[in-house]
Amino acid sequence: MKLSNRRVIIFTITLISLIFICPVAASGDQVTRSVTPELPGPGEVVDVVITLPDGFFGAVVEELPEGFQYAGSQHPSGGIKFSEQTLVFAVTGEKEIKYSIRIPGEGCGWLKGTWENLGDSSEGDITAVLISTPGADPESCGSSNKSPGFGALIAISGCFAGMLVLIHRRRE
Amino acid sequence: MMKKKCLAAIIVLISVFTLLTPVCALPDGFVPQNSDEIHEYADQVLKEEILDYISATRLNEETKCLTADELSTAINNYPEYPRRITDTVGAEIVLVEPLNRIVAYNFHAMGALEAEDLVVGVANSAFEDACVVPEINDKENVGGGGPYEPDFEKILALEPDALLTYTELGPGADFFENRMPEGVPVIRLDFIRPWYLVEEMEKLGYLTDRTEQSTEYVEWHDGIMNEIDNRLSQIPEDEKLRVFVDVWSTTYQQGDGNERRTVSDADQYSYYCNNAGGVNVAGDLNIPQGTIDIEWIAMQNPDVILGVAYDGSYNSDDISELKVQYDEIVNHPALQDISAVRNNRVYILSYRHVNGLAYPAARAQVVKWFYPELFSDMAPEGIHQELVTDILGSSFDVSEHGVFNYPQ
Repeated sequence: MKLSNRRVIIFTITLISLIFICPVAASGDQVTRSVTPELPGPGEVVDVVITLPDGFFGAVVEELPEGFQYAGSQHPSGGIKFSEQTLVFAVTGEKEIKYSIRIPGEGCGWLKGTWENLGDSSEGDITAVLISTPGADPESCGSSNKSPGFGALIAISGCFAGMLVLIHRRRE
Repeated sequence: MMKKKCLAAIIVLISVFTLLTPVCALPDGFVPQNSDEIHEYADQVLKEEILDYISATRLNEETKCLTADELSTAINNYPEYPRRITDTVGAEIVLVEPLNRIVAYNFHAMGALEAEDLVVGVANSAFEDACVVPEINDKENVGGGGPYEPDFEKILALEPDALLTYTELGPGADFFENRMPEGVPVIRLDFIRPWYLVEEMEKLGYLTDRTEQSTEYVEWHDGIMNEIDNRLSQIPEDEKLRVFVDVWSTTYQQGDGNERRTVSDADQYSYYCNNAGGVNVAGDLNIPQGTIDIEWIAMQNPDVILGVAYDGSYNSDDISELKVQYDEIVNHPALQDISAVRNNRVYILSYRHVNGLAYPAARAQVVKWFYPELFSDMAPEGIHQELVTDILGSSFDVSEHGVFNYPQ
């Protein structure tokens, strides 16, 4: 039995997508983060949006990489605390938090965070995001520690395994 | 063309700045008085309390903060709670849920706020006002009042969710704050110092969820006080009356009767003179309260003597409680030639009348004594009755009962 190239591509895309989805699903995240632009230029300001579930009352704690500077937020000023590289947002039902960080002239780092919902006594991690300027040495980016995690490793392994099987079958 | 571009750029910048600027925090000392303000302030307080909690639990900062359970309770009661005030001794009070079992060691304002139903215990001295606020009779007497300490075990047995007491009168922190169970705030508000009355009423109205009632009191208070201020402002400084303030109590009677007790401007009782457009002849004395030789008073030749008696109340009908002080002054041989005595301008106030919610009525009485022509149309007794009838909701008739001032 031969599989078409199209099916191979779809299968591969699905598996690659899992690499990115798995960490979120695996940690049961209720809180997500998006960063724009994904590839900022040196010294550029990037916008971060933390999306929160309905009825979230608690805090989001963001750890900015060394050399990255907090550049402001639309969150109420009385609900923000910035100490060293730690940024704490108090949340009273808001659906999202928007803030900005200025990245260094050249460099990279993982933007990590945690959340704590005091309304239902739950807490968790926000999937880490790598922010890097073009040409930055990936070795200097450090480790996310939390992410992509085992879920991603399994997905990556699965992806490669799947691809090998498909290639093998096509050759038969 | 260039100008237009600049203008457009400025407009865009202003618009962006306006949109990006976070809503300003409410100012310190702000006391919410309506639903919108309460909700807005609850949001601000909750955010600050969450930040304090995270600072303490995750950033290892030494910060006083609510517990996770308290925050959870506040969240369950949001946006009505949390509610936060700074009391008159500067202590921060944060409530995460409604108060329902208050030991009101200071009961002064509870009747005006219609918050009697929230009270489970009162001081022994509170029962003196039961003729005006009969609900006091249904409360547990925890003792105390005056120089006596309350029964602390009795207070604990009532399982209060807050204790309301004075700033200086009654037991201090060693007795209350240091012994009350965790999470039961000791709220110190006086309602006996006129300059704090409005602020304290607003704070307690907010804490007890009686802002409609506190607003009603404040409007009544301010209406009278503003009218008096307006009229007093017409009196030039050099035409203000010179007043000797005679502070009297049977416990101060001593020696041969040739000394009187008075106050400098550092004492509360001088305020009652100055706030009525008088100038205290002993205002510069270097002690807040002390005795002074009768000859000194004669030398000062005051226009008026304003006596404050540690006597009189709603539950007394014996005017001699005040008249005895009046008689001592007007009959003293050394004072026969001073203007105040010659012109029959000696007046006595009950300290309970001036030290309380009725202060606007008491002040109206004093300004009418001091400047009868300027305040000829002012009716202090009627003002007092407004407080009793409209705000306290009582049928008590101040023209028939109670001892508040002399001559009446």
